[in-house]
Amino acid sequence: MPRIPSPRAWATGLFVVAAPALAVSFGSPLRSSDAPRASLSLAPAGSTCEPRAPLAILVDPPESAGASLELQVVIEPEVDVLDLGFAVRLPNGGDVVALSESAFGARLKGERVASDVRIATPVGAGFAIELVATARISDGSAAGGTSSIQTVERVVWGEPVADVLGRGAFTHDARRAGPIASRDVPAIHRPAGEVR
Amino acid sequence: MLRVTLACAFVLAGAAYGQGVVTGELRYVDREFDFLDGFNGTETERPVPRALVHVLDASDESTLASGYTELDGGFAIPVVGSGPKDVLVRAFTISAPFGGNPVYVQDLSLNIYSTTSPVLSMPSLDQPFDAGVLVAPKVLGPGYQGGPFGILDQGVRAALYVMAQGEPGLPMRVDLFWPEPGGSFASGNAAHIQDDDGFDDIVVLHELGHVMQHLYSDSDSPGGSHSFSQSDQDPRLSMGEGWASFFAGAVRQHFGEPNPGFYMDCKGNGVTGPFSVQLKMRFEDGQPYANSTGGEADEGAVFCALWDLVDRADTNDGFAGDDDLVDGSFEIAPGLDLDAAQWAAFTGGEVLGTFSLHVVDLWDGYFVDAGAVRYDEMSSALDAWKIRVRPDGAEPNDSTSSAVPIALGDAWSETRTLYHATSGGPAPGNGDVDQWSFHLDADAVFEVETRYPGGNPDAETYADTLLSVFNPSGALLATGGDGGVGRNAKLSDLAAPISGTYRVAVRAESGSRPTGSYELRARQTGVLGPPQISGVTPSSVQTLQTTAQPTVIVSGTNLNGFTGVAIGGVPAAATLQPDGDLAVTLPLVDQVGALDLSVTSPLGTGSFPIDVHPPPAPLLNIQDGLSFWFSFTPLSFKLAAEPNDLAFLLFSLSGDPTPIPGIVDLGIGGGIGGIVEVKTVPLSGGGLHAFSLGIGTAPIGVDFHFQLAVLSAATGTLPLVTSNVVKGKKLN
Repeated sequence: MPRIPSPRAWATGLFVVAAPALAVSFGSPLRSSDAPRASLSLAPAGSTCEPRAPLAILVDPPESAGASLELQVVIEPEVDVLDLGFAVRLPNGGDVVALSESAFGARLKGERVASDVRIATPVGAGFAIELVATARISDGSAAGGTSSIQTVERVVWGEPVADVLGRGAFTHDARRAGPIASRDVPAIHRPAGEVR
Repeated sequence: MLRVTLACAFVLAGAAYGQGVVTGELRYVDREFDFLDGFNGTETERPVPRALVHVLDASDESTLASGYTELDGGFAIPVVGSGPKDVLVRAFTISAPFGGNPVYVQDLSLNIYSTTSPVLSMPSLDQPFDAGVLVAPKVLGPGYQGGPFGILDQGVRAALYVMAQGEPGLPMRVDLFWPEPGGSFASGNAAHIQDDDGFDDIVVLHELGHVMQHLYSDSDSPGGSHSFSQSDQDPRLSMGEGWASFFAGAVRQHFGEPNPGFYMDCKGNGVTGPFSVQLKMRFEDGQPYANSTGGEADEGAVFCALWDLVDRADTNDGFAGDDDLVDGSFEIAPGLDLDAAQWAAFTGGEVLGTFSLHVVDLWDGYFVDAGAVRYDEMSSALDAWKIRVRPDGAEPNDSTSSAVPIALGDAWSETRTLYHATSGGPAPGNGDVDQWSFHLDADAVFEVETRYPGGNPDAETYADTLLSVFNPSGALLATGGDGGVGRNAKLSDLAAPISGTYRVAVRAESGSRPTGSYELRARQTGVLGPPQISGVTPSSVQTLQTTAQPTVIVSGTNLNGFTGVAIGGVPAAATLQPDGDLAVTLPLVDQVGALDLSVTSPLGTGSFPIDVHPPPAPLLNIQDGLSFWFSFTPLSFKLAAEPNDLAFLLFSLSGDPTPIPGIVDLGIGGGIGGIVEVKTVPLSGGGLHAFSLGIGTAPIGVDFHFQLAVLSAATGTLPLVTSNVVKGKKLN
């Protein structure tokens, strides 16, 4: 299985298979309908600052992605977990062609697990993959004594089309130099006197 | 009631000036959540406070009038004109200004959100008109949902909270962006809310907490990925993130939300029930991470401790009373309630003036800037979360003369602190120097070291200790801040030149971590003299491996001054380990059996037996297992079998087997014609042989296969015994 460790991968101990031409390691072959296309560049990582669940997702995504890509994803529970699961979501389309491991059972804090993922990427200006680690933990405050935690790591190549919500509206406002550009949604309306 | 009152006022005004007034109520659909169930499936309508509302001419959407909602969502907007008119009422995610600056909720294309009524027919513009109730619905995106007006509600609450602490308003506009695909974060006066956090009020308030840090106080957080249950974070990050989560609880408590004291982030795809929770932690008791939360470098400990300084006995948190002494029944700072005291500290000079803001700076700010006077109750609340801002029981031991005697031995001291009051009272404080003493006889070899409280591998303190050891005359014998686990210090293999009382001083090594907690021990590890070996691990080793030669660990005393190590008389490479042991690499020893491992120093030689034995089967080592070879480096071959065996080194380009019944069963060759004998080697009395072979003329990029076939000296009969196969390739 040809694997090309990037310099960053060497540094972190992770190995990532990047080049589609070398993507022969596991899973079924790509569908013949997957047309070749220009590769998309890895988008800069987000600067999220909200706390994440104590499930660290370690991945070294390839700098570019073509019709398919492969990743090795390492998950490190930072607390003892009663079961540990892994899934891949593709919010912009595409197919998960292969996922080597998705359930890991009980794991101790610091006990890393890995899963190999092969994805047929969608056509378009960009796409994202969401790596989802989920676990149950012991929780004395919860009914049943356990509660769930989840970490989602989103990796983006290219520039996915931004979501556009609501209808465009322009409203003039004397207090402002220009109109207010808004995304408008119809209000639920209850006329005067109508009881909810 | 407020809306009705305002409506009546405008009715009167309309009568006086020929104006009408459009009244109504603006709400938004909210998804309710609680600590146990996450999103619990209940959807309610909540008022939209302080939001911009326009009354539009329905024919061309031109603005007839505008105004803002009140805190209860009600609005009363005067309009000018007469006669019947079809109108629209449109509300925006723009707040009224707070001290001149509003809160905006926008998408990443800088579009405000709005919600618009259906066409409403006013009988006459100069008459009062009740537009009814407008409810902003949930906004659905692909795989997520959110409420822009709910996000605005949180922004307004944050602004009102800081104004309730005495701030005149927002010093600049606050922008909230949703949906942000890349995760929730804050930058300057902007908070970006991840697409799936559209109903996570606490996440929104957490990010607004960061914005408030920027607008009114300070944060030196370096950022980066972080989680709960991490007790060895950068203390600047713990302060920045812990305070932001605390802020969410403080705002929710201020507005009377039930059970306001917890952090929660839920899935935003519409799922409900306990499985909707991604992450949660309760401030009052730290669940579900209470057992792994503590110290100045733990964001959870920071928000739990700060929460204990603002929650009250009557806080509706599901717990009867309060679990700490600061329960709202008294002022911790004269003239300030608990929130105001915290705010005074957070925005005061002590916090603003530091370059490396951590929670102990905020603690000091309570006393320097807020005028706190209830040290005992407050320090007790922080102590519960292992943020120890108090002197330990051995104080005062700051000076040479007040050094406290300790017993030498393996046992660790109780947890000590490096907090030292810098004023007449018990706080504020800064770094401390603790002095300890112990007796040693001349020529004793000893060590001193610190560890985290309880030896916790996750620290649970931000302490970074420095040790200095002084001899009986007061002269410095050794000093250092490294060598221990993590940031702890360890000074090993110190020799006592004379009998007497020695002293060790413990202080903080880093000015950015001036206090914290530690445990200490000092123990004698030997007496000056020749090396003494107490054990070798492993005690039995094989002459050769397929990879690099193994390392054995030699334990004992007086090993630190070694000048040479040998096994069976063959010199061996060795390095001194931090714990005083020696790591010795096994040389190629051409003997087997019980051999002497000897360590020599200027004071003599110590030795210990080690068993060296041949491998159970012939073994071939090429380049210590490296399979990529270069023409400029001769290949290093090492062969091992039983003493005096005769070995045939074979080579082939094929990795297919070659069985020759009764003779040999090879793993290479693909047939006898594919095998080349490289060398015949009579093995020594130790069963070893080593040589090098240049490969400058060998082809590049071709797989080479090597294997040994060995004739046993003990039996002298066929078949030959084979070794492992070694496969390699020349790269250039």
